[in-house]
Amino acid sequence: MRFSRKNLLIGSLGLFLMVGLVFSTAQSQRYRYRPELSESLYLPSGKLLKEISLGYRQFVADLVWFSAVQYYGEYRREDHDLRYFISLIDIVTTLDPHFIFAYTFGAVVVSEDLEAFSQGIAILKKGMSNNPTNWELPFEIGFLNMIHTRDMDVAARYFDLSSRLPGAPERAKRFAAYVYSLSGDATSSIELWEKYKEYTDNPYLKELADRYIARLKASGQGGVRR
Amino acid sequence: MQRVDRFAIPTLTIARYVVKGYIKERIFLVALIFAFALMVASYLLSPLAVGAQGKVITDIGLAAISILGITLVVLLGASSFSRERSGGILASILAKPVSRIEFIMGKYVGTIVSVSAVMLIMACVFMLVMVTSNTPIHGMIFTSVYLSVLEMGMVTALMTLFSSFTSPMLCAFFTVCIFVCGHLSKNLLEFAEVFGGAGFKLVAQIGYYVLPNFSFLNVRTEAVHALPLPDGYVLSVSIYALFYTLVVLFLGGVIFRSRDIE
Repeated sequence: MRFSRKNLLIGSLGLFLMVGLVFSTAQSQRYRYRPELSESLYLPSGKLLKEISLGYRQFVADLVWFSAVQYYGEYRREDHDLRYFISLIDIVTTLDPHFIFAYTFGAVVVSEDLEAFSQGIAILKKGMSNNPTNWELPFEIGFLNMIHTRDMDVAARYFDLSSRLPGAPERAKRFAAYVYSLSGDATSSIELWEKYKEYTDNPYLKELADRYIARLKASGQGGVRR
Repeated sequence: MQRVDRFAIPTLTIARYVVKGYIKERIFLVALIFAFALMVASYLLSPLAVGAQGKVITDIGLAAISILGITLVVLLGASSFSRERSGGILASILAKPVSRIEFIMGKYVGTIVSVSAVMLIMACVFMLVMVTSNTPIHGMIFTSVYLSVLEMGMVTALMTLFSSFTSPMLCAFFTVCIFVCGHLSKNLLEFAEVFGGAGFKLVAQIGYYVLPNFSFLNVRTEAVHALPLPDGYVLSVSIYALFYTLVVLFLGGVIFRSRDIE
């Protein structure tokens, strides 16, 4: 290869561009995290996304689900206050009305972390109207009622309904019997969450239960509510 | 029987020529890329999917098969007519005892066979990923893949119709527009019901019936959640897709017959 003046010029230009790219990439990294972007997250409605996703709404639901999970993870790292979580769950369940885990996970997080019991129940009731034969949704409504309102009659009614739906495991029936046996007892929330852990198969819901038990223990309340 | 042979032989010869052309363009590389991307995506995205790994793998797989099938049809098909026209190949083919209808049908069959083969390979890779990730496989998944192939067949027919009289760019544009409209067509009726007067309702109804109804061929929700379809659904929409395709190809043939080929 001859080192002509022209080749030298092209080589120098290439080197300059490479150095420029490396420098500009490095200096733009300081803007990688922009808190105002995630705080004022733009959320189109689930109905709009349902139409513009054409025939691929399941796939879009998954992408929004990833965002919801990541958003919850950020909250666990104390990056924000979880204020858009309900909207994210609403979008996911509008795009995919049969995504049962989104309802249960969303409702538990909304009731426990956001302490918005009625909105948690609303998520589960939306799920029930879209999936009337699913046993998990009334089971969760029963459990959240048991933990939050201590209305054992309402809780027992939902456990009973859950146990009579197709595919309900034996444990749903046992939970209904357990609740009937509790009526009037001042059972601690810790104990109820321990019981929940025993009855759910889902590792993510078990992990959430562990988190709430640890939180109750740390607060020193023991969580007795009547 | 002889008459059928007289039509089928040139059609199949052109179809074979089309398939060979696509193989030369290495379209099967798309299947390889799909296989690699799906495997990587299923392993990388699974931890993010918290409690919905099986659903996410099924969603991504079914959506990717459909999207890549349609993309292949648009990319490959839009330019193939003009390439033959500009190279003088079309004129020399039509100088032989091959009618224009046979040519159109040959192009259509060749494209369908090639893209269906790619989609089938993608479906096999998808099943393999499902098995290795312990995701349950049920009959609705096969139904969904089958209906995606029918959808691709309808899009190919539309692409063939547009490529018979427009430039490759416009052909791709029109095909994509009709694909989008075909997914939104059912909203036309609802929109007219809520906002329209009698005239608008009539226009909306005509639009609804003239545009392809791709939502019939989308059973991905049912496939992901193993939900049942009404009795006779698959047969009914298959017949719809067949007749829609034949009508569009017929129109394409009629337009192509009236065109001057130099």
